[in-house]
Amino acid sequence: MTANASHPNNSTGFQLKRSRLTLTTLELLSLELEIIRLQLTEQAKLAPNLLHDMPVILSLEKVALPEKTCNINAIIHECERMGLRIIAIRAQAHWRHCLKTTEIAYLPTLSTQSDEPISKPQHQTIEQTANSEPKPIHPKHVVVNKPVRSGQQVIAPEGDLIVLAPVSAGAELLAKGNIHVYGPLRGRALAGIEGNTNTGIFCLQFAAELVAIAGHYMTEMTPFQSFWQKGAHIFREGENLQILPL
Amino acid sequence: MAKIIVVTSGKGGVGKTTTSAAIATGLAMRGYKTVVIDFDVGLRNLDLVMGCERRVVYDFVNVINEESNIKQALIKDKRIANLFVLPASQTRDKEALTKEGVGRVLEELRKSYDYIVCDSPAGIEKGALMALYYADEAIIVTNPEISSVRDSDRILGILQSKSVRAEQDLEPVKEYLLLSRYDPERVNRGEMLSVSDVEDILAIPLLGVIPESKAVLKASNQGIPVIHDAESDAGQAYADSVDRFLGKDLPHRFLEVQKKGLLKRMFGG
Ligand SMILES: Nc1ncnc2c1ncn2[C@@H]1O[C@H](COP(=O)(O)OP(=O)(O)OP(=O)(O)O)[C@@H](O)[C@H]1O
Ligand SMILES: [Mg+2]
Repeated sequence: MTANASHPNNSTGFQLKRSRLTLTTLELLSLELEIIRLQLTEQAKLAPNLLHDMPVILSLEKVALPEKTCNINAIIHECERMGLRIIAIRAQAHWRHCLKTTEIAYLPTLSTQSDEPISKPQHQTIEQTANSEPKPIHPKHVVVNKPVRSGQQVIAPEGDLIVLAPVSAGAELLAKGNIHVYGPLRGRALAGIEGNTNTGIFCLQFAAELVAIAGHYMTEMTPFQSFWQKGAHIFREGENLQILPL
Repeated sequence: MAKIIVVTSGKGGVGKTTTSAAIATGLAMRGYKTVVIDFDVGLRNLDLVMGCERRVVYDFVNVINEESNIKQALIKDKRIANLFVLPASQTRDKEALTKEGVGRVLEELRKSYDYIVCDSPAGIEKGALMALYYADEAIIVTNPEISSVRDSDRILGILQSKSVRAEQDLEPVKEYLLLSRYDPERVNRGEMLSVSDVEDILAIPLLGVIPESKAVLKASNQGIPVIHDAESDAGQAYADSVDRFLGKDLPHRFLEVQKKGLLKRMFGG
């Protein structure tokens, strides 16, 4: 059997691997079935394929546990009817009792995590497409509109990172895709973190401490001196980083 | 309901305590019932700057641990009505400042005061985190040098991610820059950052520029907040800052090298 050829031990049927992935969260703001149903229908009209077979985490962090009966099963049913695949429910611990009947995996809340990036990419699809205007926003891009300060890190794990504010010295930007900075870029910027050499760093005021594209770093900026404080586009050319005026 | 103002910086020795004393006094002088709290547990010196060190009986940690009530620990200012000091303990360690304890004390004070000014310790450890956790507004004290500006930037990031307002997605903490120990002569010589350099990096509204001034040391030695010294440059700069905080639109002063008059030159100024 060819499948077994790569395995040293014939009795190995699987391996458990730890992996990170970005998922969309459907964050309930109400438990009113009718409201949820209406919004889901609206959503489906705007982007007919968006919800179809979409894996989501259902978050109950923003709604209070009802005192009497809990209609969570009806809500789950409604979501599934619209095509969503709920793979886990995230809620505070006191919800667990009421979630027992759902038979869906339970996740504790994220609030205990420290130094969470300022933008939450997993919330983005819903928040942005829920806006009644049918804007074609790419769900994988992360947009940050407040300053990224020293000691902070922002990641766009799936796409481009767009920062509309200053990036301080000591701050760090990471993106699978391109990085665009519309304020001064004084911190570190790492584009193409998964190895895509066709990515770039675009900024209106170049003053970075470090730039990297697909693993190739540059901390000594003397070769780029003539672009200091100016608009610049940094990209990979073979093994080298190159710069051009914007 | 009181507004909670934190005076913070990251870096040590930049003028937080001087500023807390001056701003709290200035607010009380303008009729607002104000309390200033020393969060620098273990190193207390707000009481020295406020001139009430001999009247400290109970302190902030006693109140948190419910060993005394707030009334017993608050020290009424000798000079200004409406002004109170809640001193820090000199002996206990910073672990005494718990989220619940600090929250409970601030909640109680909120009911009967207009402003609560929190004098933060340096650093980004527990004491500093607790001083900013409940803040509505923040005065970021910065000296015109790179390391101080960098630390202020760091603190601004923490304010926007680790305060109650950030955690609960409320309106963000309102931030003000207070540039202190400003020496225009050294700025001209290129030894210090200019006002616009600092504004450019931190990108938050400028509340005031306090000049480097002998009046500050004199005031703290006497235990009289420098804002009482209405003749002094630093006293006037703090008074302007309080007025700006309360919404007045005033031009910034003391940004240029002061020309010494003939008399001052002869007798030393
Ligand atoms: N504008 C000024 N001109 C001259 N000296 C000043 C000025 N502001 C503060 N100082 C002096 O700097 C020193 C530190 O001031 P202060 O205690 O207010 O700083 P701090 O930030 O509270 O320090 P710490 O981080 O230790 O709490 C004091 O000796 C004070 O007199
Ligand atoms: Mg101090």
